[in-house]
Amino acid sequence: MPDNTPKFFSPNEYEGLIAIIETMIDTGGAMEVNPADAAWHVDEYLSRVESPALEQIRLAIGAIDSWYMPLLLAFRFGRFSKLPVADRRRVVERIIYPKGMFSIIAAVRAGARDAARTLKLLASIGYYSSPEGMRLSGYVPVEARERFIPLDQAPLTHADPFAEGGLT
Amino acid sequence: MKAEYDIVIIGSGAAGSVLAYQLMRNTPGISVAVLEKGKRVHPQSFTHDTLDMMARVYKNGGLQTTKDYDVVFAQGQTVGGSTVINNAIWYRADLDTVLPEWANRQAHVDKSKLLAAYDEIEVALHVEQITPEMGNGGSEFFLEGCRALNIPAEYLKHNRRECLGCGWCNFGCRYDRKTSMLVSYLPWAEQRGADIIDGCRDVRIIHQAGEAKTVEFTGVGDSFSPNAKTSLKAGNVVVCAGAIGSSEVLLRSHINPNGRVGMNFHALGGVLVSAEAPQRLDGYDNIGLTCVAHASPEYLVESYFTPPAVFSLSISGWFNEHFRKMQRYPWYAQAGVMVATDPTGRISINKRGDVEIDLVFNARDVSRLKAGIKTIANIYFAAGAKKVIPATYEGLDLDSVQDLAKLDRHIHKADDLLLGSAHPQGGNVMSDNPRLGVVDSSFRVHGYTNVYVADASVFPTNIMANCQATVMAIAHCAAELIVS
Repeated sequence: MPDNTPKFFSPNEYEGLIAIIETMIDTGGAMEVNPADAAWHVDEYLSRVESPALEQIRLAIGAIDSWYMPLLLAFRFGRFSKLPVADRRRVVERIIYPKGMFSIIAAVRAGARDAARTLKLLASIGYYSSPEGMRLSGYVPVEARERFIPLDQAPLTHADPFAEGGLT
Repeated sequence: MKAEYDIVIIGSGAAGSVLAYQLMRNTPGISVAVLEKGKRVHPQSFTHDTLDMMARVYKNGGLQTTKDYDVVFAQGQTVGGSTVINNAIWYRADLDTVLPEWANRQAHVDKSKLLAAYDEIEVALHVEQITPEMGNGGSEFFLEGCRALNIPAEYLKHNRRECLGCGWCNFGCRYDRKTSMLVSYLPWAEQRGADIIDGCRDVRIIHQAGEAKTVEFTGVGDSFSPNAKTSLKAGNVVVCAGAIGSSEVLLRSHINPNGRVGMNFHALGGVLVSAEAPQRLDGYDNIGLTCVAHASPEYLVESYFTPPAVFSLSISGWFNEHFRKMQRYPWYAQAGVMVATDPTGRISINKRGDVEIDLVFNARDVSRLKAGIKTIANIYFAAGAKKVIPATYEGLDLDSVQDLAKLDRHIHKADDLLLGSAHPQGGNVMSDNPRLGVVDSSFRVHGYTNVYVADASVFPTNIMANCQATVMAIAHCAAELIVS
């Protein structure tokens, strides 16, 4: 499991991702899945993927520090991950629902929407793909489903129906 | 692997597999190689871990989107292609509607041969109707609503045998109950002598004066030297890499008659709608995609369900609101509405060398999707749903039928919805007129003597049905034409 050395994200981006998961998955109390574990799953997954969309993911994470924070928190510079949770939430809320000047520039608004979607994607797949996140949502693993236990789970083989002696 | 083949097929999904098998079965002495970009993954190594499987068997790890990121395209990239990760739904196209539309575009497919192909493949893949016992808990909830509203609805047909109902069809069947190409047509073709070569990257057709000479690729895996190019001499080349992939292969090979390759791309796609039932449905248990409602010819409505991670992406809302909805996961049912987009999209290679998918759901599509969302909401409310949640950006919860008007107030453009498609089509459309299409009615690329395309990319217009059945049937027919 996590050794805290990200494979896909840079250390700063990874720290940002953990903070994003902590902010987006608002459990109303203690996080039941460690955000660092969820982030580790996401990083591990993305490190195995080739997709032009990866650039959008990096941009969305990077843009929070370099664009959205200064723009949305009155020229506040620094790292999103270092903000108190309430301030992080304000930033993300303003990305989701742009207001004022931020909402007037259509391109910025569209970019913000893409960024918000990306943040939700990362947080949700990280949290709800983990065994604990799945269990907490009420999902019952296959092995634990009562009706599954007596079933013969051996793989089936499918013979060529048109082979000699088959259907022809 | 040999140095030379009579036929090299690029792509091992629904089309390439059936084509390879048909060629081996009906043409004594023929040599066939099937090249696949993805890896061959043994079904017993499939896990119930969403991210692990997405990285292993999905194209772009599941992150394949239009260039504006508005539409996600789910396709497989592994030996067996999308048949490994699809819902195993067997839905014949309405040929009486589709084939005349194609004929209008000078694309002529023999109906009787297509019907015979459907029949034969159905036997081979054990196609049968899904029974109520196999359906997840949301299936009957969905049908109950349809019955209350007198909307004709039924269980779909599927290609599974003795399904255990784990609910993980979209991530590969580890029990080999889904008769995907990985466990059926491909091993059958291999038994008859075909070679399946996985891990083939950067596949290009090398051609001269309208004739393919070789197929080159960089192999990944133990059988290949790192970064070394492999070249196979090919008597004929058939591109079966699917809509998107086949256009990519042709464009990278600089095969683009009349600049048509990649044009006329379209999709059957749409949006998911979730409904919270008064009782626990445990939709994750048993088959996810089960039923179809025939509510309108303008859109297709099918019931669906999926494990938590993907489900969480279709549930609108943010922060604690989203979390609270996810805590009710076992109480939800889901259905999707899909529309056929116009064939006006485009597949291209951008300056950075990446594939670019340009497809927009236009105002008419959005309007039809809204109508479909309303239908699904009505179905679920009629069944007793407490809440209906279409997958929208802003989060739009409907508490009763009186709330349906909200849809018109809040959904104006495609970007307001969370759109997806598992049924991309077109890009190398069929037409005997080279100005209108890429391949002729015998699947041959215009201007080339021995290059063919046979998959969903040749569909001139949308078939308005889950694609795999028609893709397989088309490939079945193509085998005969290619050999002749």
